[in-house]
Amino acid sequence: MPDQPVTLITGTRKGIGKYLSEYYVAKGHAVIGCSRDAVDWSLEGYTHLRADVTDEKAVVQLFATIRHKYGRLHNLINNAGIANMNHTLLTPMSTVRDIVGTNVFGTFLFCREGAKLMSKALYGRIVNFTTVATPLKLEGEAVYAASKAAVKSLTEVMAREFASYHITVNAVGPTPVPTDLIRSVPRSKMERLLQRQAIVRYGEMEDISNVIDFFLSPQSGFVTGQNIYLGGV
Amino acid sequence: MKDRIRSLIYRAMEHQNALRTEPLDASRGVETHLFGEGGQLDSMGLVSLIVSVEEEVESEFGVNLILASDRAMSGRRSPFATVGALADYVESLMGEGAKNA
Repeated sequence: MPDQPVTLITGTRKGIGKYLSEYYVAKGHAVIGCSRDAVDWSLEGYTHLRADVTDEKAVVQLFATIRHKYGRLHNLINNAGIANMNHTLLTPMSTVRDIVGTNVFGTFLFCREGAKLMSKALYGRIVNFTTVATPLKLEGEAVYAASKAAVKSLTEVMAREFASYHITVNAVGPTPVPTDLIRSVPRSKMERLLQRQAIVRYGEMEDISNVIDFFLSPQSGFVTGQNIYLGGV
Repeated sequence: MKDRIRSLIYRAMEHQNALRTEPLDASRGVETHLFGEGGQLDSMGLVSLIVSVEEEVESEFGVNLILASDRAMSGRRSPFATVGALADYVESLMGEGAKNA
C-alpha cells in the first residue's frame, strides 16, 4: 500500500456520503466523490465527479478519469442509495425502477468498474450498503428492502469472484440515521423500528465509519463477503 | 486501424505475462489461441485480458468500450478465441460506437 489511499465514495452530495468524504479526507485519503449533481461544498483533498450511477457510459468514463488522474483505486464505498416509503399497492413502477436502478444497478456498475481498476494492483476494498429494513422486513419498504437484499447477494458472490485479485467485498447495514433518507417517515414509525433493535437508539455517522474502517483496513484482507448490521439487528 | 488494435492486444497480453507463471505465447500472431479450445487462458485469465484490452483501447483511441456483452459471451464464434477474432471484435465495437455517437 502506498502512503495515500485513493478512495471513491458514491452519493457524496449530502448525508452519510458527505460525512464519509470529510472523514476519509481527514484520515489522509485522496477522496473522489460522485453524485448526479454538483456539490455545494468543497474540501481540500476531495475531488467531485458528476455521474448518474445508473448510467453505464458515465460510470465507465468516471473510472477512466480516475485511472488517468490517480492510476489506481484502493477503496470503493458504494454509499449512493435511494429509499421511498410506500405501501406496495401505492408504489408506482417508476419508483421501483429508480430504487432498483440506483441501489442495485449502480452498486453493480461501480463494483464491476472498480474491481477492474483494483485488479491490476491485486489489491482493493469494496464496501456496499445494505439496510436493516431487509432483515426487519419493514412494511412500506418492500422495494427498498428487496433492492438491498440484492446488494447483499451481490456482495457475497462478488467476494468470491474478486478474491483471486485480493479484492475484498463487504457490506454495512446501518440502522436509521437522522438523514434526509428518513425525513419523511413518521416519528411513531421510527420509534417502533428502533424498538426492534438490540440497542435502541438512532445510528450515528460514526457507527457506520467505524465498520467501514474495519473493512477498509489493509489488515482485513481475510475478511470478505460479510455483512454487518448495526444496532444488533 | 486493425494493426493498432492488434498491437494493443499484444501489449495487453504482455501486461498479463507480468502476472502469470507461464507467459502467453503469441508466436502464431493473429492465429494465437486465447480462450476456448486450444486456448491459453482460463476464465480468470480471460477476465484479466479483457480488462487490460479495454484499458489499452481507451489509451490508444480515447474510447471507452465494454468488451463483455451477451452477444460476445454466448455467440457461436467466440470473439475471444484468437488474437485475430478479438481484433475484429474490437474493431466492430468501435465502428458501432462511432455510429451511435
